[in-house]
Amino acid sequence: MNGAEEAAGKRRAARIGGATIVIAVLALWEGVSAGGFVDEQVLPRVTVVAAAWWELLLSGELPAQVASSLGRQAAGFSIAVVVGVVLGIAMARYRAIDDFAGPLITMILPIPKAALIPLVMLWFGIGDVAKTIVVFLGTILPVVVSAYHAAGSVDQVFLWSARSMGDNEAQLLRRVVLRAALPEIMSGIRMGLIISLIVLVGAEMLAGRGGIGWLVFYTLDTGAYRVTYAAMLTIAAIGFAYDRLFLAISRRLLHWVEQE
Amino acid sequence: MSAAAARPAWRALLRLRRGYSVLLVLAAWETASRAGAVNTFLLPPASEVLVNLWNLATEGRLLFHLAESLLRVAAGLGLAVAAGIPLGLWKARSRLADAVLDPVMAFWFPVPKVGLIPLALLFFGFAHGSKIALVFADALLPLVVATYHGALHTDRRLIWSARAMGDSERRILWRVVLPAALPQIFTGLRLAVTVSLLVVFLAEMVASSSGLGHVMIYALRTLETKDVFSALVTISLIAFLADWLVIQARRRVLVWHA
Amino acid sequence: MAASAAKIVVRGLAKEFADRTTGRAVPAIGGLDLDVLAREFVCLLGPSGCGKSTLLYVLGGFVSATAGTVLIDGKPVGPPGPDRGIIFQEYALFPWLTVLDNVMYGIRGAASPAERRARAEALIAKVHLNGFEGHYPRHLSGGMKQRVAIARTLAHDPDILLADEPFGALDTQTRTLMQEELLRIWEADRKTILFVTHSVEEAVILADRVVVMTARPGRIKADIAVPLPRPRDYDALVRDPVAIELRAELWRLVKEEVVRARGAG
Ligand SMILES: Nc1ncnc2c1ncn2[C@@H]1O[C@H](COP(=O)(O)OP(=O)(O)OP(=O)(O)O)[C@@H](O)[C@H]1O
Ligand SMILES: [Mg+2]
Repeated sequence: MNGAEEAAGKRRAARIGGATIVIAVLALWEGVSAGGFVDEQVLPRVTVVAAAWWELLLSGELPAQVASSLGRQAAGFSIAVVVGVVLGIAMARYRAIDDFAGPLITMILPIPKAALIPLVMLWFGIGDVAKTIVVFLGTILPVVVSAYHAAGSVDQVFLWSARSMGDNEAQLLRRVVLRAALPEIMSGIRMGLIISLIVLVGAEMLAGRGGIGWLVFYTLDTGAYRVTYAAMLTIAAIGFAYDRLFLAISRRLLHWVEQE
Repeated sequence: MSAAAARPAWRALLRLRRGYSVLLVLAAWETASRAGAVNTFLLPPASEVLVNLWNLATEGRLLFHLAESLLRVAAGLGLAVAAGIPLGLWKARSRLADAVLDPVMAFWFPVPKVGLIPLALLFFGFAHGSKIALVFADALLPLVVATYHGALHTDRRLIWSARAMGDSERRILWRVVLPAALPQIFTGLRLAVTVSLLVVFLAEMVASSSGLGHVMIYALRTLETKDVFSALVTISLIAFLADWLVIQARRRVLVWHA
Repeated sequence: MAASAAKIVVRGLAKEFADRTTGRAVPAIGGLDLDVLAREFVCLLGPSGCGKSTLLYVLGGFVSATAGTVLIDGKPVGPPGPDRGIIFQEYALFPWLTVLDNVMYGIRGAASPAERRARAEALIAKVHLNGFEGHYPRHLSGGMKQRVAIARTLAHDPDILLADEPFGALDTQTRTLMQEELLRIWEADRKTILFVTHSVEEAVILADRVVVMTARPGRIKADIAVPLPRPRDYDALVRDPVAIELRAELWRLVKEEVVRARGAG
């Protein structure tokens, strides 16, 4: 109880500290810009950016671009999570699958995922499918690797206990292996989530036709820096919100794990 | 006993068993492309990609771009190490630093920094500056977090015995806490290297006139697909090598560690 | 000994492991014969590393033998199944399930969820853990965890109970309580138990028969009946001359093997 209270107190302090710092940064930004320390063209004032953001929101432009980005992200990401978890667990449990997929994954794993974007563009063009594939590729490797590692190191006594209580292979996978591996899989998914946003934004910058990354770059080209900043802030906010959402879900799923 | 005698042959077979899929894929790639089953423009034969890579490398242009990319990574990563490790130590040892850095990091960590490329361009220029800044921004956090965790979990008895021997707090930080945190720091460094490469190539693709990322996207735009593949192979080799180097360095530095 | 009537029959059992570094075969069990009768409580004593756990794992079907035959109810031992329950030293409770869900894990068949739940609750009561149904394992003490493990194993009503030093990690007091509890449960519903322990005292308190194993590769060194009346009275056994004599004898046998194991190691 005491630990929980302390943790809650720490979280509250962090929230207050966070708010303070955000306000301080915004104030500094406004001051630097308004005070003429930086060309106001290059760094528009916070208030100007906020106004631009509001306008963008009301015009429907921002919601449309965000929705188009998030749609691609959600599709590629969720397919990658499912495929990655299944493949990783299968590799950990079945020798033949490991022998086939393991070396291929070892070979692809260290490739900076950004380098795959041109290849995907070459093969699949610059539409939604291509970007969804980019997200898929960015997400799946950390997920596979974490699932493979976690499922391969499930404590043997868990497996044996389940077997001796009558589990068949399918029940064992679902009720023991997946559950035991979940904490590590979740950290792989978090990594995948972060990378998926990076490569999505990158792909949108490289291959136009909508999306929040495209908006950032397009407006940079046309010199509408106010909008560029508004869009960049939106990207930052999306990243932050996703991470919070992920942590909340993860805490729910892993409530049985000793939390730090 | 008979199993022991048969071992060497077994080992070799085992190794082949682990590698056959890679050979299979390479062979399938080569034959499919040569036989015309796939468009050679979309997928040039592996052998031709290698020949092309050799030509690019000997011609010198590729090496120039490689050097540009490596320079950016080295500078950004170096700055991140120089700033990240002290920050991590400071965060572990000071309540104030912890309170200030926690929310900053919670906010900064999940932000896809490539989204901020325009900011980097506007402030640090189209050339090296913007890429170095982005690498720094992305490599810093893994290092801070790793150092922090390593330092925080330093065995207290080590610190106490150093204190008992009359070491100053500062000396303890550098001589006890930092070495104790090294295993974790290397883990962080490995992640930082991975992220740095991801970001530098992406930034070079998006906005640069040099570097391997630029080579790749330029080749795509000019439809020199062999160059796309050659650049991809080079980038992959660099990433592989960088990871290997970190692991080797770790082994060297951490001889005392299990 | 009427071998055909025995619940568990082990003949010439041998098990070799491949050494991880050299790859050479290391014998863990070398030609072991053992009979366990139905409803018998047999304790297995022996020096560390003599193959006690390995024997249990072979009986459980987790590990296959290198040579020899292992029969259960006259049939060769099969893959792991609910006919043989196993209790590990390290509890092996699923940390992601509550006490109730852990106990319910192995209850299946036609029973409705309500019936299964009732059965699990009855078992939890049997090990005196009422009120802890909703707790997760990390909130339980070692003794409580081991009681949940026992309840979980009893839940699928195995014919044979294989216990691998289940009380080894507990403090002496908790251990004593757990021994009494296990005896109480066993005396009410006699299952065939093969119980590995390091403790001579524990073996004398619990067993009908104590089997002492030799140092690795393990074989049977001695097979000694425990002629003490049941139900066993823990306090009386401390001063019982027969028990004292037995403990001394077992201790001498085990010590010989421990010394031998050291010399060989
Ligand atoms: N998976 C394995 N691989 C290699 N050797 C093993 C393996 N399992 C057990 N052994 C070896 O077999 C021998 C018997 O092991 P086992 O665990 O059965 O001993 P034990 O009698 O249960 O010992 P303890 O009392 O310490 O639990 C030991 O020498 C051990 O090192
Ligand atoms: Mg053992």
